[in-house]
Amino acid sequence: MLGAIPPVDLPTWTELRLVMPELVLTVGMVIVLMGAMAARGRPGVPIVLAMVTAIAGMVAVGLTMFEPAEAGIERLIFHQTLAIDPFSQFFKLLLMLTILLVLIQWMGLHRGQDDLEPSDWPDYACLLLGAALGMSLLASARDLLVVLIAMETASLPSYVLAGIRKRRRLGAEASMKFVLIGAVATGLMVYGMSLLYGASGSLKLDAIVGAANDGITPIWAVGMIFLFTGFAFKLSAVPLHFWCPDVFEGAPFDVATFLSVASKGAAVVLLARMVDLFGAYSGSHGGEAGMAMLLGVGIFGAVTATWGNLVALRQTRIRRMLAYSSIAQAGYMIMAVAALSVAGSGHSAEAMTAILFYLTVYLFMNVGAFTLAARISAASGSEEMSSMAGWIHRRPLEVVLLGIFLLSLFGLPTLGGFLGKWYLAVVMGRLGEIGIALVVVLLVNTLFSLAFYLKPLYHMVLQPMPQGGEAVASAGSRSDHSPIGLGVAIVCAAGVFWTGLDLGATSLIRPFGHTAGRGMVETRGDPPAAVQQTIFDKDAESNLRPSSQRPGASLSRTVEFTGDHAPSGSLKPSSVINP
Amino acid sequence: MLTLATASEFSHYVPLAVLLVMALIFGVANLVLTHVIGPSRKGKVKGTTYESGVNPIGTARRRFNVRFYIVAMTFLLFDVEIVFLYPWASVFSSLAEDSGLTPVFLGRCLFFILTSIIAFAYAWRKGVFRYD
Amino acid sequence: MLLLHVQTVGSSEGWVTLVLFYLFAALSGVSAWALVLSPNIIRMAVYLMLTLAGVAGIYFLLGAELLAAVQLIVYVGGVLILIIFGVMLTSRNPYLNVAPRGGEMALGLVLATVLAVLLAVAVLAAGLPEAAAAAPDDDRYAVRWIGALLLSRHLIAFEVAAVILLIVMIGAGYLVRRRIKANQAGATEGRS
Repeated sequence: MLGAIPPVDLPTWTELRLVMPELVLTVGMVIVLMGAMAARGRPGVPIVLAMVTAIAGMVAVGLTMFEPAEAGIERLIFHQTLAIDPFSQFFKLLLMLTILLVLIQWMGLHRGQDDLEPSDWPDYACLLLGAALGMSLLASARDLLVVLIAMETASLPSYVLAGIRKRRRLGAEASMKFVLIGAVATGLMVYGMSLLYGASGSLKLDAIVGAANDGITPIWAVGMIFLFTGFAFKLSAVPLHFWCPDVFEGAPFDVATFLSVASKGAAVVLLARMVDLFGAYSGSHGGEAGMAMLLGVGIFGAVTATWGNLVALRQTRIRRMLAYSSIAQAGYMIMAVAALSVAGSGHSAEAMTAILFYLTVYLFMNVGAFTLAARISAASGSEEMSSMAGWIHRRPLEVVLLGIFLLSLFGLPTLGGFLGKWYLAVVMGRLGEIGIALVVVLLVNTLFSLAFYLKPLYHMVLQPMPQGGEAVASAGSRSDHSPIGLGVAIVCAAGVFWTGLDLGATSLIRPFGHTAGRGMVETRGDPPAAVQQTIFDKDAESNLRPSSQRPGASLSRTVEFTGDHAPSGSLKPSSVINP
Repeated sequence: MLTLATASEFSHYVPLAVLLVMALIFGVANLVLTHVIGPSRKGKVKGTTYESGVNPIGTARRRFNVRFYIVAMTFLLFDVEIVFLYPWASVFSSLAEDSGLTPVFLGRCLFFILTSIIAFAYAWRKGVFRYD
Repeated sequence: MLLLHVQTVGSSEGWVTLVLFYLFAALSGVSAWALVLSPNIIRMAVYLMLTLAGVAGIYFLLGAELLAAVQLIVYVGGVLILIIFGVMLTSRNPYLNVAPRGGEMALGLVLATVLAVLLAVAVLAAGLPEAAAAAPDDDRYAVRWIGALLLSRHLIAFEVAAVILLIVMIGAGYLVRRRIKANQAGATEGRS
């Protein structure tokens, strides 16, 4: 006797089609490496291949993002380990756009003059795509194992990217801090996962959240806290935010841009998915876990936003200031995510829309601000804001554009940041007293943040240019004149106005927010497996089924897999082989 | 066989335990025996690292070249690779037999292997393993 | 072999199990203490090895044979070598004394105590459900079972693990290769 094995099935074509963006990224990584080996004399080839991968990824996301929206529920694929819903797909679209913008920004900023030798360009492109794959999976993860693997796939390349300028001490130090904090956070998270598995008997996120139905046990609570510690590291939420300013300062500007937008975005999406499950279940058990989650996440976000803003005021270097600003911005989004933890499907759809909208705006304004900060500090030879005095006379266009991004980060009306924060505030405002408190925190923080967002502008516009400024300016490297970086900034500025004046942005994003996540709501009484079964039975004919190929040859002697004992109903895997 | 198995716990680990004990005894006994049986002479030449070989240069407690790290890392990578391949190999034959889909299950593993092999090939081509 | 395994590990109330468990637990615990208290970094690595080996023994007792083997092969055999290499590559003197200062010690002690109490309370207060506790009754943790799971339920995790290996290879290659050049530059400077 060889022992029983669980039923093994094949992914259906639908599943493979829905996971296409991730496949594109994986294949893209391999092609970048093979292209680098094939075309050794031309170092630009892998970069171009990476850009093509990003564009192909966008197409792949586009092909998958509308179909589930019509179906109206999320699609759980690969034994419910991945959720392909409009919410995650829209984030993946933003992610691919970020990769593309970052690669273009890198071409404009660094090409040929940073420490990266041409022979190392494929490494850079490959690591970037690898991190993107991890973030993409993170956005769809619905299973602890996938969360862990995706988190590692996103983190490991980030560690290397953070220290990619190895000749500089700052880069090595940043990378080291990143690795150490990351290792501790991941270790805690894995430990928490083991506790959660022990408490619920399942790796599925919904079953784990559902395990709180019978009351919260201490082991479940501790496991959940540890799990959220891992999330907090990726979000750079306040107890685990130390790495963020150091890494942003030690890494090149393009890596900092990538981490600030894509990494935090993926973590926000994952957090939203997790908290949304709490919201979906909170109706069925008196909302105890949902309430705890609302308070916990809300306080988390409020502290993160406040701390980020307070420390940002003290910074004198523009890049550290932007780093703390990104911590604060993540805090705003976390506060809005808290709204998902309350039952009531209407709210969750609004909250999802608001988060997606803010992520979109945040992408444009952060990429733009980082690009211009990079150009101006490259031109002035220093990242100290005081050394940029009087730059309005030298580079009027760039200073004005930077002003637009900074004021959008603050939230000036007519700019994207304002409308984004407005939507966040509307969502928070519906939460009752806690919500009002969150809105007040958001408002106070926003007003306070004006002080440091205006600081670089004050230096650049109102301060006179120091004597000998000409010499410093001309000593700047040639990269700060490259039109490519300016192009990225102008595209981002267009994005900020597009979202800020609401030229169709809200109506574009709303469908993705509205159909997201709460597949749970319609099917709350039923196990999600049933939903999945009905979906996939529709295209059963086109599935590559072993049973249809060799009838009677299926693994009939296998025992029924009962590894997951979900308290919320039996989550039997929808095995294609098992009848 | 069955009665033997149920009579004493972990009977199927017994060979392993015997091996472990034998290894321990062999190692410890050799150390003890050299002290007990072997002649004990002391002297300056006798105390050098290689008594009748070359004279050592400097101390062993110095910083090693970082290029050795990639050797350890590569070892670890293929270590992990084998860890994943073993469960696959143990179940592959019966899976392929039962479902008649040998290429599919082979393909899943090939995808796994080739992905990491390509990185290895790239690193090799780039000269990561070159010691000069 | 597998059949015997099914027969034996399930009925694990025997004194052999108990004795072995305390043996392995003591090995892990005592080594962990020694690891933290030792000021010598190489000795720390050896204590770490003993700790990891003890954990592997506990995995054996739990019937998770593959996990135990992985623990021995990857952690005791691989990661530990990597750690020792890392020490030898970076520090000027591997016999460096790394004893923590009093303040660090106190902070660490407080954090560890809080964590330990928290976990102890959590684990003791909540009995684990049947699903988790009774799992080793069948050969669910047998290698074949894991293999089948990797090919079906956890296919995504399985394939993405390969991507992680790719990333690690590329990343390590990148970092190490550049340092070779830096070292050479340093070496030539030193000679001249």
